Amino acid sequence: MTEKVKLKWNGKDIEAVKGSNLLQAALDNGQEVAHYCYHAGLSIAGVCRMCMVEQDGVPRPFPACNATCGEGMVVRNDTPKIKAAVENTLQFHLLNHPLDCPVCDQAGECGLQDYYMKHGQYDSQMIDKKVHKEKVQDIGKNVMLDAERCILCSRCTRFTEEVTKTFELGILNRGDHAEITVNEELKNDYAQNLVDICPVGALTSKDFRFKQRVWFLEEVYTTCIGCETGCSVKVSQNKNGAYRVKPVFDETVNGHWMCDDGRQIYKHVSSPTRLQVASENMNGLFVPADELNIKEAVKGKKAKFILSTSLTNQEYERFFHEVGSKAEVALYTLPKLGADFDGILKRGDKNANLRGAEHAFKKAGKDSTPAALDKLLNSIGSSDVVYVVVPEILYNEDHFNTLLTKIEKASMRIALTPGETLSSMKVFNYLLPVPSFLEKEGDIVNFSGDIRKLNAGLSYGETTKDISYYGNWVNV
Amino acid sequence: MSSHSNTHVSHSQGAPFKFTAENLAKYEELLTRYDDVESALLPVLHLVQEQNRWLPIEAIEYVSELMKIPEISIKEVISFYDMFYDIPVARNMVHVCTNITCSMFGGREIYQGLLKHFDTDYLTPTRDGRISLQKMECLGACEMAPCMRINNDYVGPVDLVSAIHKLEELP
Ligand code: SF4
Ligand code: SF4
Ligand code: FES
Ligand code: FES
Repeated sequence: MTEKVKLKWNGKDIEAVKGSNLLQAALDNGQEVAHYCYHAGLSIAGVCRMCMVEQDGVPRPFPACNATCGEGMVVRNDTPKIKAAVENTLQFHLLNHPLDCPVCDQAGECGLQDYYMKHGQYDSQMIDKKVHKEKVQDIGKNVMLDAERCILCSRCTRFTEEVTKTFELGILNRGDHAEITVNEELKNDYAQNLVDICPVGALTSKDFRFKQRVWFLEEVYTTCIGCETGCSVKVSQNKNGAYRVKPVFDETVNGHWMCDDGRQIYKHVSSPTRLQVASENMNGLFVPADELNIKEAVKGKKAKFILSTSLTNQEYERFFHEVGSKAEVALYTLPKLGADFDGILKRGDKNANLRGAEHAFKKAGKDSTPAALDKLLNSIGSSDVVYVVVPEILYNEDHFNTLLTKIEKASMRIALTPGETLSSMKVFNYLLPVPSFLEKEGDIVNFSGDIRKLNAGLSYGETTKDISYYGNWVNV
Repeated sequence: MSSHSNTHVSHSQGAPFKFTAENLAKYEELLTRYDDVESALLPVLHLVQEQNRWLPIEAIEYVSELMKIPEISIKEVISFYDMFYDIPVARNMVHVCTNITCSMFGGREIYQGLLKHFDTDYLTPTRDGRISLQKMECLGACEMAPCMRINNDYVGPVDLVSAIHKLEELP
């Protein structure tokens, strides 16, 4: 068992694991400690000097991030000496800062702004000219670098050394000319994490830049459906739509990080071409249609459903409950993409809830294998109505289009889609909207069999009817 | 070195770099002096410059491959130190000290005078390709102030006239 020790922080008793990081212990106990370079997911650098503390019996202040917890330690960071140290250090960090908060995306969640309000000097004492650096650098993988805003905390270089081990970033030159520099360009699949860990506005996301002020956004805590890993994420959104996806620390699955593919999963949800209402194919153009007419049109036809692997356990269950044995049901699985596992998080199996689907099929006495899908496709006749639940994230559209060519024999083809209307969807007679992952609560089962939660955020359209509602049509 | 140039683009020499057999042996010997490979990086980069005068991207790639050190880490080291050159320099390297003692004895004026006389700029080779001038912090030879280093030789005290004279003699 891990041994606990008691220590005093600013006069308050706190408890921590013996030998654990002192700064982390303070943060875990709700204490405020300014810090830039420390990140729980990276090695210790001790370069920003913001987390200084004094300890009884130790002659000089030292950085808390580079110290460990011991029994009976008496530590303070509220003494005049420490306050002065932090103020002076912050002054140094801001010496060459361009003060362009009004046009900076980090504003509102920026370490410099936050600490300035607390420890700032307010009146600039700079008489020398500021050192200017390149402000708009596209360093690849949707990351933009503004070298003037950088405080050289080295979180980003440690990330590319320690997490991705791709070594693209370094600090070139020295003194006030020192500058984050990219070797050629970013090449790793986790580059957007750099934007998250940069404590200031030096690294920003090309995708998110200038789109929204962060104080106009709310977070929905949910699970990434980008692959079978199922990382914990939060999606930032407001009434106009979703804007970005960020990882949420989760010890069991993704730790501090997520991959760049996962950053894209929100795009279809508030896309202007997202299907909002039931639509009918009029010579290749989809126009709003009356649902009752569609219901009428499928009456008496034999129903065949092809489900996707990104539905929740509850959706599968409700669906099978409605359909019972009145329809043939098969499962379309997304093809493998890339390596089975990239050694960090990303998995080649993009079926977010394959395990949940298999379990539900089995429970309903149905076959979820590709062979069963082939069988269903081969048996399609002209009096059939085929419903295809469109997968939420299609990494390989061609593969899906091949599936669509195989349903042409059916006289009636209906897509249930949580996303955009693709050109290949012309094969359908009708399109019906179903909720996206951001509009439903439920569980999915990830690669290791763990239950992961989906949470609903705002709704962007008429998407409250899930697949079981349409499944119920087999009864008419 | 590039604290005076704004660009971080590594320059190409348009041809591959490789240690000569003799320098490869020297390289192996250098490795034996340290506990780990990284520690040998400084002397190894000096060895490259001995052979190649400067450090083009081809040399950085070669050293990275040879020592299994990421290119960016080598660039960090090169850019940190003034005596590593990532742009082409001339066959004679002249360091003029402009630090405190030498400045008090006119070191800065000598440096400026030399730039003017040879119609060149910081590190830029003279048109005949003979000389690159570089101002330097203390060369550790204050007793010779104002002093300079011509390739591996210290000279000083010098004045502008004698400095020009010495440089004109260079091959
Ligand atoms: S770019 Fe950001 S993360 Fe990287 S050193 Fe600068 S402040 Fe730190
Ligand atoms: S590893 Fe998979 S689940 Fe995690 S962020 Fe990437 S796509 Fe999403
Ligand atoms: S957080 Fe401790 S020195 Fe930066
Ligand atoms: S100041 Fe020139 S050698 Fe010391």
